[in-house]
Amino acid sequence: MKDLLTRDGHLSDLSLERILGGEIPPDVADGHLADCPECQRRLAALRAHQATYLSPPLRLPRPQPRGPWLIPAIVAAAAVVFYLSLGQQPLSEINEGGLVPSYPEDTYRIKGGLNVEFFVKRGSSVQKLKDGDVVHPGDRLGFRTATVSDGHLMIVGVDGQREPYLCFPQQNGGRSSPVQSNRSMVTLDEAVVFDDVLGREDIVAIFCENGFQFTELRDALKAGARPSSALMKVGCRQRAIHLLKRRLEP
Amino acid sequence: MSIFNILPFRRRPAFDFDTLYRTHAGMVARRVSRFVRRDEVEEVVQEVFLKAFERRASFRGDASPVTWLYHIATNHCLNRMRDTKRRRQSFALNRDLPWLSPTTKATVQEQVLLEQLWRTLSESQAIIATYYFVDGLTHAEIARLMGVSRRTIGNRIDELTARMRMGMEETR
Repeated sequence: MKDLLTRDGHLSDLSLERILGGEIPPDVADGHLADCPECQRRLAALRAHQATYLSPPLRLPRPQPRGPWLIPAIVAAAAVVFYLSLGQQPLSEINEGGLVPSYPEDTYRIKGGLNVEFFVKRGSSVQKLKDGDVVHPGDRLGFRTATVSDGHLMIVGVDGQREPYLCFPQQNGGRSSPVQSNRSMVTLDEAVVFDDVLGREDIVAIFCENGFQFTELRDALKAGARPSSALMKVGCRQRAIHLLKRRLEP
Repeated sequence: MSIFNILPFRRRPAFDFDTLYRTHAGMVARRVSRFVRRDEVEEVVQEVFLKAFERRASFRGDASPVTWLYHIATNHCLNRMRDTKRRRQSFALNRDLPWLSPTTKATVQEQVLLEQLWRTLSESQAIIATYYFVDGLTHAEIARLMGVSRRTIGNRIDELTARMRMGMEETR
C-alpha cells in the first residue's frame, strides 16, 4: 500500500489508473480511499472520463507484404489500371453505400478527402456505428470527422419515409459549414436525436470544395439520388452509413 | 536425456493489441492531456500506441499494461516537447499546460527551479524529475516504471536535488 501513495500521502495518478484498470485489488486501497475525500474525488473524475471517452480508430502500420517483390508490383499495377478504367471516378462514388468500413479495416485511417465516424450514445454507453447497425428512437447520433484539405461539410439524414433532414450544421441557416484541414479526428459539437420514424435510416456526410445549401440536396435525396451527383459540383466527397431504426424492445 | 528434454518450450502468449488499445486508450489520453494541447490529444494517443506497438516485444505477459503504457506515454510526451526544432520554444509554448502542475505540494521556488532545470536535463533525468517532482511518485514506483533499481533512482534524485539546491543558492 505504501508504494501506491505519493510523498504527500495521497494515491498517485498511476495508482488511481491501476485501480481503475483492475490491476490493484480494491481492498488494497479501500482503507485509504474510505478516509480520503481528495482521492475519492480524483478517482470519480477518472471514472467519469473513462465512461465517456470514445477511442478513435487505431492506425497501425499495415503489415509489409512478404515474398517476391514482383507479386505486389503486379497487384499495384492491376489496381492502377482498374482505377483508370473507371474514368477517374471519385473514390467516394466507388465506395458509396458502405463507406464506413467494418472491422478490422476501420482500425486504419482511410485515405482520401474525408474521413467520418458515426457513433451513437444510448444512456451512458457510446458505440461506433457500422453499416447495417440497428438504432432506436431516442438514440443520440454524433460525428467525428477529419479532412485533408479545407472545404465545406454537411451531414444529412434520410429517414424511413425517405424524408431528408439536416444533421450538421444545424445553426448555419441550411448552409454547409466551412471546415479547415485537420488530419486528426475531431468530434463535431452537434448531435441529432433519432425520432420515432422506423425503418431504414441513411446518414450521409458530404464534403465539397465550395459551399452549398441543404435545399440543393433535399429533392435529390427524396428521389433516392446520390447527394454528390445532385450537387453537380466537382471536388465533392461523401461518406454514407445505412442503419436500421427499430423500436427498443422492452 | 537429450537437450530437448532439458529446455522446456514455452509459448509466448499472443499480444492482443486491439484489446490493449480499447481498454487503455482512455488512460493514455488522460496522461497525454497533462502534456499537450487538447486538440493534439487524439493524435498523440495514436503516436503513443504506435510506439507501444513497436515495443510490444518488450512487454512481459505478467507485467502491468497500465504501468507500461503510462511510462511510454510520459516518455513520448517529454520527448515530443523536447523536439530539437522546438526545444527552445517548447517550454514557453507549453507553459500553461498542466504537465508541470505537481500533484504533490512542491514549493513555488522548487517549481521555478524545475522549470529552469528541465531545459538542460537529459532524457532520463527529465523523466525521473517528472515522476518525482511533478507526479510525486515514490522511489519504488519510479524504479518499477523504468525497470531500474531503487538505488539508481535514489542516486539520480539526489543529483537532481543537489542541482536544485545549487540553483536555489544562486538565486539568493
